[in-house]
Amino acid sequence: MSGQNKKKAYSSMLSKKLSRRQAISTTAKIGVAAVAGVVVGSIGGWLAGSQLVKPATVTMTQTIERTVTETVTKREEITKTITAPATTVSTAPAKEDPYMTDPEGWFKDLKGVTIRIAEEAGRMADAIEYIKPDFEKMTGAKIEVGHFPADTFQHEMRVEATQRTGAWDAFETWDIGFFAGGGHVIPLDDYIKDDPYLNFDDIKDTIQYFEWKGHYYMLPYNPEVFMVYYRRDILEEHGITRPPRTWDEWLDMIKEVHNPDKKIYGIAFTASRFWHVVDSNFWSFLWSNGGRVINEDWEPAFNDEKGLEALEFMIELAKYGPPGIYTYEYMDVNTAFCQGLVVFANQWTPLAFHAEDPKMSKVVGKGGATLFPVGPHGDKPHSPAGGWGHAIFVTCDKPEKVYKFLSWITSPTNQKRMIAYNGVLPNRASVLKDPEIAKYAVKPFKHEWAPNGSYFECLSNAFKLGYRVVLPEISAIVQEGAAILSEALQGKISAKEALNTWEQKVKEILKEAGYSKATHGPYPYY
Amino acid sequence: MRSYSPFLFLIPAIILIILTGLYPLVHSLYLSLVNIKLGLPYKLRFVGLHNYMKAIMDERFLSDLLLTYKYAAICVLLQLVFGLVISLTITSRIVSEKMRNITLSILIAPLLFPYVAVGQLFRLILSTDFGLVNYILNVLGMQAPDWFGNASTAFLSIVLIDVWQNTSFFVLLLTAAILSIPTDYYEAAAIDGAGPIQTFKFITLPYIYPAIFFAVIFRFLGSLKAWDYVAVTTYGGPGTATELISWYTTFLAFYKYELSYSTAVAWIFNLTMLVLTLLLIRIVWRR
Amino acid sequence: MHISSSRSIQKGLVYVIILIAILVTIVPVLEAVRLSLLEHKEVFSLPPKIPLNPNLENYVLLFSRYKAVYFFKNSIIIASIVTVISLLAGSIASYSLSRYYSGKTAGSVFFTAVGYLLFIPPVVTLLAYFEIMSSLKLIDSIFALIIPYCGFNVPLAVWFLKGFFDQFPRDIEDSALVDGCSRVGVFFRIVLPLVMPGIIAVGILIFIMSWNEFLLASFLTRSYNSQTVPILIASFRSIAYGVEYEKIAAAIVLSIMPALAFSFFIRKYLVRGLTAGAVRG
Repeated sequence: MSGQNKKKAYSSMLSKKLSRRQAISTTAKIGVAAVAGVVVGSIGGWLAGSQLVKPATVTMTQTIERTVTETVTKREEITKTITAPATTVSTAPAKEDPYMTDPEGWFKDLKGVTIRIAEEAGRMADAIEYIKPDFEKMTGAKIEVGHFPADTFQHEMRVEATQRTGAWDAFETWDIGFFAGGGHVIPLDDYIKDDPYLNFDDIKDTIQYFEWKGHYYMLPYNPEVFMVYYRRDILEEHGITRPPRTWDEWLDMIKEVHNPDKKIYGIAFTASRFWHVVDSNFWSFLWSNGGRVINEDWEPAFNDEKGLEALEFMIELAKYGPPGIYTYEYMDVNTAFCQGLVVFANQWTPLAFHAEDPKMSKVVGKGGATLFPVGPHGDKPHSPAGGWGHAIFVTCDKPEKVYKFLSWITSPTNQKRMIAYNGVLPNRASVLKDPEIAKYAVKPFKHEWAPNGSYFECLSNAFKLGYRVVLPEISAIVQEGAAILSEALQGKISAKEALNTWEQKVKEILKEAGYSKATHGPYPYY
Repeated sequence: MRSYSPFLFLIPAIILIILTGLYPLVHSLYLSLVNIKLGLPYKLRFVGLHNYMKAIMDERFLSDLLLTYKYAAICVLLQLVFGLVISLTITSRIVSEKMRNITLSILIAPLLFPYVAVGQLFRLILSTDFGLVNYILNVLGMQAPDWFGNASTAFLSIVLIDVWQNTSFFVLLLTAAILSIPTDYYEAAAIDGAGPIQTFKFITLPYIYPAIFFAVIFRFLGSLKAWDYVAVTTYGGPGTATELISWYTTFLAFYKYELSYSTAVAWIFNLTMLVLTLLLIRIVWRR
Repeated sequence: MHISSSRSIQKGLVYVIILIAILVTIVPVLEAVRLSLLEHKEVFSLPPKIPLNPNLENYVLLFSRYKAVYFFKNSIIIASIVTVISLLAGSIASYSLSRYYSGKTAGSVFFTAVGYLLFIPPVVTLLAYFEIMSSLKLIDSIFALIIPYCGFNVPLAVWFLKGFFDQFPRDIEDSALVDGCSRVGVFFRIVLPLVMPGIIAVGILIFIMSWNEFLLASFLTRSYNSQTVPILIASFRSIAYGVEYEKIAAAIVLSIMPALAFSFFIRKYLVRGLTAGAVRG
């Protein structure tokens, strides 16, 4: 560019100095408009929202029949049976529940205490936000709930635990192996023993999954177990009136109902690289076939004929799934079932409520559930159980106070309120037996695991029969397996080859961690 | 005229870079030379280059590396081609200025959305059972592929998302560059009887070359570091078909708890990026 | 005759290309708009449901229940501060590099080293930042994100703006210096205003990158005090409610409005800015 032109260009740019002021004024205009828009929008949203999101006060007619057994170490055993006449009770806290009235003054020392609890954003955090005002009013404590997006929540908790930041007192998790095995959370045994309002039998079935090396590290919050869900109406159309008990029956039923032309497929489960393909699906098939993941010598035990049968059965089942089954992650299975796309679905417990929520599901009232069908080498259905529980970080300076709040969350009244509010599962056996809550979940056929056709009977049985494999490195094992199994499911590699490769990797992981029968004793889980 | 201001001018940038960039780099280098695990018990030991050796000999890491470079190369190539075609088109004389402005505003919109949101949106659009694309294909009677389930189409899908969102970057830069060319040049060329191809080759291209260069380098690095798309759609894909290195390092750190190994992997990746990009610059920057 | 038919072919081709480009860009966005007006269970319906009675429930929920205002506020504040700081520090650094250090080895070493920082995937630095921020007790404040983002973006500003400054003719500066203006004055009063379009251009890039960043933001923030828009979007993937595509779509639509308005106004300056630096005279 010649010097002449350069000078011309730049002098013309110089003369554009005015336009700079224009730019500033335009920016200012945009800024003011944006701020105004945000203000208007938020006022409007707040106004509208305060109408929409008021929690509805539901009136329930309940016949309360409760047996309360209090076992306290230094006192006599008191057994009370309380039968109240049928009354119209609102979901506001009931007066008889000791957690709400605090007859022993157990919550007295919580005045002015701030408790910080980290939850997964969504259902579980919302439920705590819903019930916490009553606690704050009763005790004068302050509860801060952290909402974390599901994807990164567990990662963040691990980093917080490792860094010992002390930012949170309690949090919810399912990975007891990592947190307890790594020494990041404290055992809760003593607090449970000293809890005056907690009947240990009430939570015996669900807290057994939160035990590591003889101590309990978590208090159940939203216990879950892996089950098989089905469409009662479609099965009845084909003349089937009870859920399958064995793999052969199951496959026959699936073949019977599988109808791609009508867009009704046999079964949905996570046949992708999403880790539920291993932890939940493969574990269920393996255990229901009598197999084990890790044997007593701390070695991988899934690469035998039972594991092979399990994997091959999974591969076979996936062929009767919708075309997208190889992309399915956790929510997609729910979606497939709730949109009416599939007849069977392997899923954790939230599906029971999801399917009955008119805002989320097109198959309200049509679903049922059962325990896992048993394989050729198995005798009883065993599937992964556990779910979510609350744990207390070692950095917490007031663990006994925090424990009181955790215990309060799981009081029978609160559990009933939470399940009515957004489906957070009760874990107390006494609540599970309550016929009042049966209406929130799917209604199975009457069968051996649910003789009265109640989902919660099924759930109680599932908790009794559940298995678990607890290990700090379990995440590594599961994730490696997921990548390998997802290829086997699509036929890229053979089932035998997949199991061989996976076994190799698991051996490395276990060896590097230094586990052996000599140093750690026999492996106590499955 | 000796003043200290030149150096003073550098100071804020130097401070910022040292504080915010240097410490994490040094820290991660340290992490890669020991054997730290995330949250699990370990005995701190200096292992030197052990993690690096392990990574180099790890087949999975090497295939992921290749996959990531393949991904970045394809993305940038496609973005360049589309971006060039689109910007040449909207800056041609046939298009009025008003139409050009409207089109430009629409076309740069994808840049403004968070990557995670775009990933989720496309996860639904390309969903095999519930997505718009497959529905339309079925209605038209065509074979509807299992976008995220099939290894090869999964790779294509994340390429698609990246191209959709980032072609706008090329369109923006290239349009601006083309518009800066003084019109007298075009007039002179037209008088001399040059056809459209010659005009492009001898006038347009040299002028916009620096813009192309900058955009290519920048997007190449950006695509190499892509993490969000994989994390919300395929989790590494069926098998390891979409396991990009950035995602692989988070996998190693948060699922296998192998913090040191994952930083070593990241450093090797870093070095390959540096080498290849410098090579690219040397080859391409001839002018 | 020959000319006019080839011209009309050209014209047709141009319009077809533009049409395709616009369609491809706009269809996903329209899909987002459609999804944002639906209820959760209708999102998956096929044939796709067109919301004939638009239902603004999702938008209302975003503001009332999910407190979207805080997230947008945080994102805007963080991105703006990062942009301003990066531009300031970057512009004076690259000006200095361009004027004084261009021939010298110290300059090119620094330039390359700074550029090297562009190559780092944020993943690598995650833990270090977490440690620093938690020991400084800065986690969950906006500074926890501002500092790392500046670290990533200053190199970008330096690299991009150096081209601009290299082209800027020194005669104007020299004449100002001769007239008695100090270096600092020259920079701020003469050079900067004329390079402003380029600065706006790279500023927009920095703003967008800070707006979009997810990984670091998810670890260094804990609550409404500092969480940004990508985290809001990520919180719509939950175990029980499923992936709430309709709310993600609503958040996307909300992200468009200010951004489109912004781009309409700034476009003029954008075009002028990008050319001056990128094109060699």
